[in-house]
Amino acid sequence: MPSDTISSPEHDLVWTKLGPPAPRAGLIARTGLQALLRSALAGRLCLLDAPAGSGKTTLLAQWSAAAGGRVAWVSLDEGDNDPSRFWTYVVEALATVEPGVGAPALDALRRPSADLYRAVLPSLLNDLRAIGSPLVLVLDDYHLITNSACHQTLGYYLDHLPAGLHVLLSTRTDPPLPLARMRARGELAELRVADLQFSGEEASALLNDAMGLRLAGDDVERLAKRTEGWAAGLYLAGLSLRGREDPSAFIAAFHGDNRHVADYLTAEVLGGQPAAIRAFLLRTSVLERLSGPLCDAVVEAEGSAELLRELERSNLFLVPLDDHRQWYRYHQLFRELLRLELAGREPTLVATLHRRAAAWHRRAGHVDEAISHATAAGDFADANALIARHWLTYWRRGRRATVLRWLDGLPPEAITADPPVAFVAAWIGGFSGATKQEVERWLAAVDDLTWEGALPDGVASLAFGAALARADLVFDDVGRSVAAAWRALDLAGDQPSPFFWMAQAALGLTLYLAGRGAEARPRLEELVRRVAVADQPYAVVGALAVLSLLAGDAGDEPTATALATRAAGSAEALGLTAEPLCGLVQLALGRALTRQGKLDEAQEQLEWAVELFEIDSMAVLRAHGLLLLASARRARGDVAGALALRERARELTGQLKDPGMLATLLERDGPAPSRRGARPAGPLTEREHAVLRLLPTKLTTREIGAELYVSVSTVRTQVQAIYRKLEVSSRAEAVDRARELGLISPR
Amino acid sequence: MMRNRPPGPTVYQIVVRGELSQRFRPAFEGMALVAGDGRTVITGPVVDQAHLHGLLDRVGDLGLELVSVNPTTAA
Repeated sequence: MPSDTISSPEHDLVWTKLGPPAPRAGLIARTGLQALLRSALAGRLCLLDAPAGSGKTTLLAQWSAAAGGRVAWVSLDEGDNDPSRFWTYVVEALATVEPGVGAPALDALRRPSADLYRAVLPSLLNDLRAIGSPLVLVLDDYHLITNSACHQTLGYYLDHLPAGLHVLLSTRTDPPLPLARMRARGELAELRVADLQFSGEEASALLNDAMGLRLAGDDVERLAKRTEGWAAGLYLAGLSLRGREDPSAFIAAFHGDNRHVADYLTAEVLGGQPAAIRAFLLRTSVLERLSGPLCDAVVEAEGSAELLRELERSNLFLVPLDDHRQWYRYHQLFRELLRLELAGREPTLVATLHRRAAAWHRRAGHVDEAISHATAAGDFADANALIARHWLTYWRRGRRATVLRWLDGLPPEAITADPPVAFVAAWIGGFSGATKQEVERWLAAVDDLTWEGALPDGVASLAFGAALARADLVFDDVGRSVAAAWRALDLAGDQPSPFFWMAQAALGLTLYLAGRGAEARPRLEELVRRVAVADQPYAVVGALAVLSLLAGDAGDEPTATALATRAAGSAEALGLTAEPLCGLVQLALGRALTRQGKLDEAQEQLEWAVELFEIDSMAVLRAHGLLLLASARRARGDVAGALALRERARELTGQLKDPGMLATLLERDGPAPSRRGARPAGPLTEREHAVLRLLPTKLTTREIGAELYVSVSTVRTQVQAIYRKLEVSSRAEAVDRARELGLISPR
Repeated sequence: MMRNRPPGPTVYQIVVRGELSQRFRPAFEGMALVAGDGRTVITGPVVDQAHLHGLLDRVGDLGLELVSVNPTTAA
């Protein structure tokens, strides 16, 4: 039911995306291609890689219907560039074939900041391993995915896919997956544009049998030649020819014309429609998906539902998305051409149409689409109002990338002009790897502007929000963060308010980082005593972790362990283990485990913490993590490894404006490394050489792993071994040193 | 890399197959479309790589066949 008070991100799941488009009339079954597709599915990945309008989706829908139910389907769109949304669709799609499969993974995905590599994917793959029969996952329109985390997690999924399971991607561009490796191993099959081109026979079947045109053999051949077997071109040609008295003359004219096929034929097809239909087609082309009520609202007329059914009957590139014929979409290429026509004919109407669509989606509770259309309409104030009201729900559910996409759609001026949204941009950006300058630019806008009262998301006041952001996003200056935390506490209002405790937690953390643990402790102890973890998850979990670190500093190991375990339990239960701020938990746990001599577990926790802290705003904690990791290494006798890690921490600390207690920690931790010799301290293994050769590239550790077909932790171990043998402490140094030693080619 | 490039846009020529009518102008805002000899030359200022990739994405979205992409001013 439409309502103005919404929503949870689950509202945005569009169930019609989880199945192939319903079959429509006027098409031919390309049985030869379907057979080719079936044999291509022997490998784990099949790529259907061809330009727009080649008939990829149609082919897949036909093959899927013939395959008899073992096909999980996701129709992707630009909104799926959010790993948690992407995988939610994938798991839901798999569950349509194997009911119940991936239920724990879905549970994990519903929690904020689900950890894909540790929680979601292993659990999903485990479920899939138990399936006896083959299953194909189809990801249609994969070229719309640009988010690198989506690519990386899909690569991981492919690497670990149990036998009998396959992935089929339809795309216009080669996806950034390790295709060369898979090709070499015979795990990849490809159908490309040449495979999809219509043969003369297929063209004849389409035009004469399916579309009922009765064209002569010569004419069919000319059309096939002129369109080069391009499915959309042939189909448009068929539509233009309907009802013509002299098709041969039309074909001859078309054949001799140099105009672009789609350009020429779209004009013909649209020209042949009654004015009312033409107007409807053009004006609804602003919509990604169409329903009767939505179209009624956008064209401000009634009867759209019947019109849609009529368009489907006349095969005007309308694809039904469900069996009930409630939702449709235009064939993508056709929609692009319609939008161009609209922009040419009624340029001033475009924003109005988007505005109406935004209003309808807002009433229907579709936050994501409402924001997209409001942005497209240039109604930035409306988009801002929606963002300010709903971002917190999305963020708490780990949908940070979605909020980032909304913000990316807005011009920077629209963000800086709207203090609540500028605050969101600062907060979300700071936890997503934005630089200090970028975050400060947004916060400056918050500082400059006045705003009365609480924010739409419930935050106490703008000044409070800005202070809290500057406290929790430490970047390179601990002293500044302590001051910001004091200010946040000042602005937080009375003691019982949730904002008071958020500020108290920030102050406790920043005081700890400043080496003022004695002042931090009583505040955090009071917080832990008085606040329920369910009410203030981030504050309580963070406080427990810092208290554990403080107990460790005081030599009280039993208390340190108990607090860290409690923090980890809460973080786990609330699904916060992948949130950068909660890396504190892994930090405390890793430290305690080191003291207990559980060095493998300790190292795993600390590496995880360092990984979470690999964003600019968490540099201080990253250096802290590196130092704790060095202690764990030293405890297992790996002196050189420990040294290299400490050097990395030292280098990082040197870049900080006010590193707080890190300076003391570094001093306490021993001397600088010795001079190194003219050859490596130890011979590099073959695998280490392979890793070394990739270090000069921009590949991340994970990407290097994908390239070499090994796990991330293996790469990390090998990188550490390389550092040790080359006696260096950073990737850049390793590259320089390796070049110096002639181990890799010079620049 | 990009860092050393002097500020200001570079004029690019994007050539696609087929003669496009002016109907395609809105797809390539700020660019001139000149059709002839069975191809279309799309010419105009491109501010950075992101802009260029956006234009090439449009080429793909519209099912156009890319023939060449060239900067015409000193890079």
